Amino acid sequence: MSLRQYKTLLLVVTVVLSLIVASPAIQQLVAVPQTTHLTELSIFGSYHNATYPYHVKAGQSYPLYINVVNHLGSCAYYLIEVKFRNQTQSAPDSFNDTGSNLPSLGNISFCVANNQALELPVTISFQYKLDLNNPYQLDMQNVIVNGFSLSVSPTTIAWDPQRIGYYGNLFFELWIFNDTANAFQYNQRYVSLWLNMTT
Amino acid sequence: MIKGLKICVIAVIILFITTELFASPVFADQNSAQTAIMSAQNNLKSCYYAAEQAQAAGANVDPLMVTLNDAAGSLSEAELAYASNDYNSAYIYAAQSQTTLNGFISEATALRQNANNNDYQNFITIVLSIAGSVAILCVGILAWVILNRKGRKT
Repeated sequence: MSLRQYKTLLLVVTVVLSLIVASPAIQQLVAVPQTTHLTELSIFGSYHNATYPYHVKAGQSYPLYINVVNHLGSCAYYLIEVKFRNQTQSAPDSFNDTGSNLPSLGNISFCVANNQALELPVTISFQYKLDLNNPYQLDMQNVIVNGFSLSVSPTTIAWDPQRIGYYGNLFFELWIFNDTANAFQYNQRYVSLWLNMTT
Repeated sequence: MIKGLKICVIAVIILFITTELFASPVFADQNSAQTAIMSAQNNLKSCYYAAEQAQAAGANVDPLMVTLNDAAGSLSEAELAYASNDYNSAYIYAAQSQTTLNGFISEATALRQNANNNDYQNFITIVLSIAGSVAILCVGILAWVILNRKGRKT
């Protein structure tokens, strides 16, 4: 082997060895975590798919599943506000990223680790009756969430002649805890179901 | 006979009252339920903050999240019970949430310290690897220079 070849071999061995020894440091530089900072929110019906209740009866239970997936890059503390409204009451606005003005009927709080999903089973039933003085109006009494009876009185639902029915909107707004503000903030996400309250 | 019967009846009454007093559930009013819920909320926030810090330090917080979710579940029940004017259940669930989080912060702190220690070890490893790499490069270049000079002489 000539001296020139020795020199080349020496350079190659030096570079390879130094790279091997430096690999822990290189690994830290190369492995930059790629995270899309968002939270997924979805709702499923009783069969864990998109078969949702539509024609509902008073007193009957409807199992729902709310799924939350955390892609925020750290664990997160969430709150779901359960709300119910008629056709004219305040709704969450996807364009302005604002929640509904209506007060929450009840809250469901939970934590989700980073890149983890959580399924929240929520059983819903409704108590309502037809207004005896006005047959075109339904008087809502309670929304029962996981066995807890939450009053929605005096919400009334007017007969919808176009869709032919009394339509109520059950929706779940997602709120997230902000450490800095030490308060929950609306996460600009909600899932909603329009329900035909049959009599 | 009648005296014995009276004593027996009184004993039964006393036993009944005592049982009712000690075995009866908590009788919570709206204020105490509200206070218990607020306290549970604050406790959950503190624990969440501790878990978040542990995660930021690089700790695996999955077991902590399970505990947090148990407590959050109880808190949700408490809030739903409160909203449905069931203050007794609200109080009990709020207390349950607090109990679930007993020792949580110290556990999170221990995890965070472990993670910090591991972080320090990683830092030392990185520094040593860079130093080692630089040393190897220097030695290699030095050897190459020496060989080069030898080559020129010959």
